Amino acid sequence: MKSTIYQISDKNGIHARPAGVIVQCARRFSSDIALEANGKRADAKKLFSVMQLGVRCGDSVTLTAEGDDEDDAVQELYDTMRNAGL
Amino acid sequence: MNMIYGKGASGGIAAGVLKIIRRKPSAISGESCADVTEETARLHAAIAQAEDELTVLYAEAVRKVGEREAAIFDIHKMMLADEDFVTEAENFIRNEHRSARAAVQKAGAALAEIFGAMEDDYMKARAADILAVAERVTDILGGGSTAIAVTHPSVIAAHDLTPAETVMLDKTMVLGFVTEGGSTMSHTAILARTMDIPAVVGVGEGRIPDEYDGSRVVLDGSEGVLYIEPDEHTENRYLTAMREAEDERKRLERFRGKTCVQSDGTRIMVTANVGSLEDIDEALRCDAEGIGLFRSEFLFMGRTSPPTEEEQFAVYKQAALKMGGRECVIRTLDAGADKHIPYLTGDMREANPALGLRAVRLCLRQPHLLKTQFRALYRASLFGSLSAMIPMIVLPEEIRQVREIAREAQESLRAENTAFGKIRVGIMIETPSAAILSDQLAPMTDFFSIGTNDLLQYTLAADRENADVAYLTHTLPESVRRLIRTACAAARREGIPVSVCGELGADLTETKFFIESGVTKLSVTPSAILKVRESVMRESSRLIPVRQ
Repeated sequence: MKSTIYQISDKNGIHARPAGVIVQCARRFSSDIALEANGKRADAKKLFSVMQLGVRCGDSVTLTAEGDDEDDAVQELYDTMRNAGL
Repeated sequence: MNMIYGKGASGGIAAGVLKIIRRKPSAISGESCADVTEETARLHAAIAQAEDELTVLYAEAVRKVGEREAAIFDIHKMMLADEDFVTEAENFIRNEHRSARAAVQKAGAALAEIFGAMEDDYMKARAADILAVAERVTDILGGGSTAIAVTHPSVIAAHDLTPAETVMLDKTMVLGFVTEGGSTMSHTAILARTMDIPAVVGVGEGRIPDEYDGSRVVLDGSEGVLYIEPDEHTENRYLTAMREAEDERKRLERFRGKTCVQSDGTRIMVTANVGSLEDIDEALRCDAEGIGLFRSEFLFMGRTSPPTEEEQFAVYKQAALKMGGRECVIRTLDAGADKHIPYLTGDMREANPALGLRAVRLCLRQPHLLKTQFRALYRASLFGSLSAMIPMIVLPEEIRQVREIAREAQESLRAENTAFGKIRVGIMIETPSAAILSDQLAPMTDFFSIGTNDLLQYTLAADRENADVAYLTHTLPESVRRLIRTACAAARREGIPVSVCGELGADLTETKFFIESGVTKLSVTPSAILKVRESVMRESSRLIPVRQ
């Protein structure tokens, strides 16, 4: 299992558009990928699940991947979130 | 005359005939099916068709409102394909023998309810997106259509509009729209603003009865009011306002893509004040000749630790690239006073925050903050023209210390073999002390920028938020004029430029004073740029096109 922490600085938090970007990225990997924030857990491959986390600006999000490509998954997801301005 | 109040979702005025658009009530929730397998297949076929429709819609939206706003239709497509949604609908068919249409409606409603109950207003507004997606599928299953046909120029009214309906509105026929439901945070509202269609939302259930169809109306999208059969006085007031707004828009368009030049050849630039990368897009749309003030605070707010060098670098690089060679002045961290950032200022309780540990004082107390910011700026300057602007300088010693930190930043980059470019380092003149000592400060800095808000407050000893003392700063007092003239004279002797980046920069009655004092750049809120340029032109000899 591989994990890292990302702090959200986008003033709108993880709103619909970035949630879509996260899901698109996560679906490229075979690992199970989860986002955790504020005591809740979301499947990173499901849009509604990610949106329902209700992540706001300043929140810390834990990215966790488990599977064959877990290292790449966490790294790629982290970079994707940063490039999306989150 | 009848007035209906809602929320202004997209500014502007529309006047015309009201056309009410009603959808057939969809009493389908009880619909059942005979063959579960067949019904599930219908469900999947309808979802596939809806996805195709959204692909077409996305392309159309990119053309009409740009990729950024069009992205919502990509999100709609993902919602449609989301397991949580599809499985839910399948379950309703299998377990409750509902029709595909009823199942989709129920699954959509259930998800919308979850979002509607979320704390965050933005997420609450997403319920509308889910319902729109479900409706698209139920329409396909029921053979209906979501297209709105308007054949005469009208103001349209509906219970609600989906983002798809909004983006497909024919701007030549739809003068404006009003909806009973909806919020200003909805994508429908965002699209209306992007498309520049006046809109009022959330007037309330049943507030627009059928008998209003065909009435003469005036819609005020800024105030959020719909006037039914307005009286002559109201209608004339709005028609005049519309005509004036249109005249002004046309008149100001002549100043787009131009710059003002004085008889001695000095160029007077009108630039933008911004607080984020999104604001830069707005500034470019408003024809900014550069960014005169980029408030870097936003990078530090709403989090629990300062942004890393990489995070800052990414933002400054984007800013530089977006401006494509035009100067972008980044004000270094201006925290403290009215901008409270807990992890920097701690539990500090100051009796007089405006006179306390703020802006450059805070940065000199925690030099690593400034060093990180300088490193990010030096690196990002390879991608465009960047300047750093230091707020709240009162003494020459502070500039010496800032320069030393900037030097350390460069040296550390050089030692690491990290590529970096050049930046100009200027200061804000926003304290009486800085203005009075401007002759000593000018040789130490690359430019001055006059922050009129603080300069007024500190010179008159009048809190700008306190209405009881506002009379002191209503007009630009002679004391502040003298300080500005002093700073401009010192800058002229040293050959460095002076800009104005406070609110007064957009005060057209002071344009003449600023230019006569020697100011060569007015930095204002993006929407005021063309107006200020017109005002500058009155004091200039030539208006010439600039290649940007």
